[in-house]
Amino acid sequence: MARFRPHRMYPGALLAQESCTYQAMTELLGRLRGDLVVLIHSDRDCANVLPKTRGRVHNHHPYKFLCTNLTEDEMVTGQGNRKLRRSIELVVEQWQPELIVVLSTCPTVMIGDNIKNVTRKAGRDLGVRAVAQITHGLKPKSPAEVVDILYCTLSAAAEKTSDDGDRQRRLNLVGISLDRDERAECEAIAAAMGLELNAVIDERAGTADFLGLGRAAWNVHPGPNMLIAFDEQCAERLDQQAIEVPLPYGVTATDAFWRRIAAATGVSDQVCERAIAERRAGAQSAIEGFRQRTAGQVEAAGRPLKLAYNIGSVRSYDLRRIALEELGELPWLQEMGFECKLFIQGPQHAANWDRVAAVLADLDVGLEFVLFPDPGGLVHFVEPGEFDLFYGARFLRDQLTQVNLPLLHHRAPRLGYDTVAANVDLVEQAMRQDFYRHFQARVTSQGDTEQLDEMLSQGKGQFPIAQPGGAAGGKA
Amino acid sequence: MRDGRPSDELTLDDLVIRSSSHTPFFGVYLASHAISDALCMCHASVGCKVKTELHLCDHDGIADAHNRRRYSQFIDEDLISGSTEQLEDEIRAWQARQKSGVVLIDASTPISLQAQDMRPVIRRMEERTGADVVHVPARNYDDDLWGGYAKTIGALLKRQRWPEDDDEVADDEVSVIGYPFDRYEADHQGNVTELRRLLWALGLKARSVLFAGEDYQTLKRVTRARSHLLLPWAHSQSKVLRKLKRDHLRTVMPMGLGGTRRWLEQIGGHLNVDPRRIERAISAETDRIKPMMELARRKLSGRRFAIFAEAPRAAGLLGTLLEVGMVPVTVGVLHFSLGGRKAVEKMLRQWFDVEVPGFTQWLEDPTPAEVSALVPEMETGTVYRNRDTARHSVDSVGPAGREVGFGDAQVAIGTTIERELLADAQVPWVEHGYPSEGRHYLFPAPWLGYNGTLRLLEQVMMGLEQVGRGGGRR
Repeated sequence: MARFRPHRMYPGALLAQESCTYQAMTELLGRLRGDLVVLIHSDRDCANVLPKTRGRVHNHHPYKFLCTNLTEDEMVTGQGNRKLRRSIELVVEQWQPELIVVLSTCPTVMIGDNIKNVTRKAGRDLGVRAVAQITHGLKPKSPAEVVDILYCTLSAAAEKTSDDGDRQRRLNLVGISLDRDERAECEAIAAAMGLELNAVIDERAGTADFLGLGRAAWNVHPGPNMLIAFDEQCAERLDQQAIEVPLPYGVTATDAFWRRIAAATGVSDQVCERAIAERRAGAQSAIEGFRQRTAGQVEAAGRPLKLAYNIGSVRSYDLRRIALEELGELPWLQEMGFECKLFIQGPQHAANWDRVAAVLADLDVGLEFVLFPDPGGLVHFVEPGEFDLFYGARFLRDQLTQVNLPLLHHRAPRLGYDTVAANVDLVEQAMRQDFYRHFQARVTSQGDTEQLDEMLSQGKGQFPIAQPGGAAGGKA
Repeated sequence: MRDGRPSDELTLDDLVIRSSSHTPFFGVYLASHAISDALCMCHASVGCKVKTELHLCDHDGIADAHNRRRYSQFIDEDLISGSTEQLEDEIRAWQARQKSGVVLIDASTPISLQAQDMRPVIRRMEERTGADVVHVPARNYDDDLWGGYAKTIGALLKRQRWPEDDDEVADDEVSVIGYPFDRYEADHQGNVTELRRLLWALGLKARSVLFAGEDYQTLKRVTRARSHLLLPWAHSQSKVLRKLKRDHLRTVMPMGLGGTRRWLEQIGGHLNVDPRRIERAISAETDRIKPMMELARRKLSGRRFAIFAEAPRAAGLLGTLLEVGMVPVTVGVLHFSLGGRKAVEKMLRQWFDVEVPGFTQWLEDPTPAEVSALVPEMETGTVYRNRDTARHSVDSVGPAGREVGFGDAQVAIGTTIERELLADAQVPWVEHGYPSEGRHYLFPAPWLGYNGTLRLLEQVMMGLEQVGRGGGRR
């Protein structure tokens, strides 16, 4: 077994994969809208963290991302700083963007190029806003921490607007991406509660959204323990308060989402209930319909519907995915009647089993779990016929198809009440077995369950948590 | 080779991320993906994995890009101390799990900056795992993905235990080296089958194809081959075989009628196959496919096309399409290690006996902006010239008194990258080469050899058929 070398992780995303801050920044900045040029100070290889298709290298300018493409000679003879300076000049001459972001990578950190000084001086001399971030993969960080750092950086220039009387009724939704329909529902319910959505700060936000944050008094974001530095900065500079909410998937969590906002902003219970009642009823009806339609299947099987819920297999910078230890959709799936077991990707060291159990106990999640170390060997951990559905990352399909287990990609469901019926439909489509009845289950991936049996025999992965000496503990 | 330019002479084009920005780090990974039981151990930090699988996961719809790739995840402490402990731990753990036939170490730039010596690691890991462990010393600064792919072939050839005794060599066995296998889909299956079929017609067995998505054990049969046939993607590795004192042949590109004929004649001649047998094999094939080729010529002659591909593939595509009378208006030669325009023109002369017309527009290792600029600025409501269904002979296009360009193309063949950059032109597009994220194959779809010629022309015909066909009168 490879060494277990856990890095310092972010309090609200302890089960997330660790990440290279440079790669994370490119992914986050790639989606950011606005008049922005990102200059990667590196040899040409590091530019390849950017996909070359789907227009992801281009945005406002013909090239949103550029790279100094340092040669070996330039690296070892100390010509990097000079090339960086000239590169910034070229960008300014060509486009004069509102913002230039310079990122370092492992090689340029190793050779000690002073990108902060070069960038600051170039920005001053050329009269352009230019910032440099020391980024690299030599000290991995939590994706949640990278998001926190970026949001702090981009909102640093936001200013508190004078209190026009409406500031207290304005909300920013931070870290919760919304599509058009989801946003429309949010705005409608907020309006019915006398509130207004000021900005949605997510991976597709623009620089202007960050600058306008100060018009609102409240930052609503998923929690607990997310956006810690951002909250501190906003409290200090913008006199804002954070409202930590669950992710509004399904009825129960969406109820909790709006009730917490109402309680924090002083909206009465009656106004809140009135604002959500109609939509809530439609969503509830969709859930009940599903339970009725699957009642026969449950009775025939002599067990509840069973779902394998996957955590930790993707490196995401979307708080909608990584907040709440990736368990945001769990309440929705449970209210549909699924009995859930967690499949968490991670090393099988005893210390990691204990760490994961403690994280889940802190969140009051008392579900059985298994740790699997390698996505290419997941199939060995899934007993054929044990589950009706696997909820997780799409790329695990090559494993699940070996045991004919349907997969629902965890990015497919949408937020809010109005989308519950469509989400139920997604589940029903995924669970249809017509396709797999033509194929036998056959495991072709190499590997086995490694330390699993030994860990399970020690009571790991079970709740209540086994304590040394046999005493049970934990919150579950 | 990519040369650095003095800072004073720097231009924005020097800062651009282009197709050829893929480095050997990706090429080595791509080669390891093409061996069905290889483990690619990236000696790299946590973010580098994105430089590998991310670029393949939408291209290969069959074999997942991440399953046989792992990274050592070095951190600052490892680099400061020069430690390879983490790398070795990961190799041992993953080798035990996956039972890989071979472990390929693919090093990122920080490792080459440190000039870390991999020989002790290889020795220890081979002792501990029993698998072959190979480090590919590729240079990310000045080579491209095809350079990394070829160097992986060279590194694996050097690692083999070559027999000193002729008895261990099979007289009827050859190897095919340098096949660009980038996904486990039916286009490549079709090609590998076609090459083996053609060689079998000469009485030769090609058990070992580097690479063909087959396991390492099969690949190791390369040492039994009497001769090694190097496809253009691996011509650079002939130096390795020369040093190993192995008989080898740098072959032409087996594409189209002319290319395939020359390929068979070249190999047959080199290996002293009876000329009558060679001619019989070629005649049997050309007799078989003649009616289909006639159909293709009727449908395609005079149609104007654009292609975007690395040099040997570009030459093969041009040769094939020129044979049926199609007219090239734009040729984009991608990447650089396999050559640019001059290389393509030379290949065409030597392999196909054809010339590209003088009016054809050429791009070499283009920037995204240069590709995008091929789409002419248009006023709303104007119609691209590609909607003009008239046919032109090669002789009539150029002298017709106007400039010819991508706007004249009726069909384009190339990768997803160029397709997306030129989407506004709405030219029917046959995705071909790496990456092809939109076009996937379920049933054998070769583009090499005689069967590949038919299949390729069929796809071009189908691409053209889509234009303006939405029902109603034709």
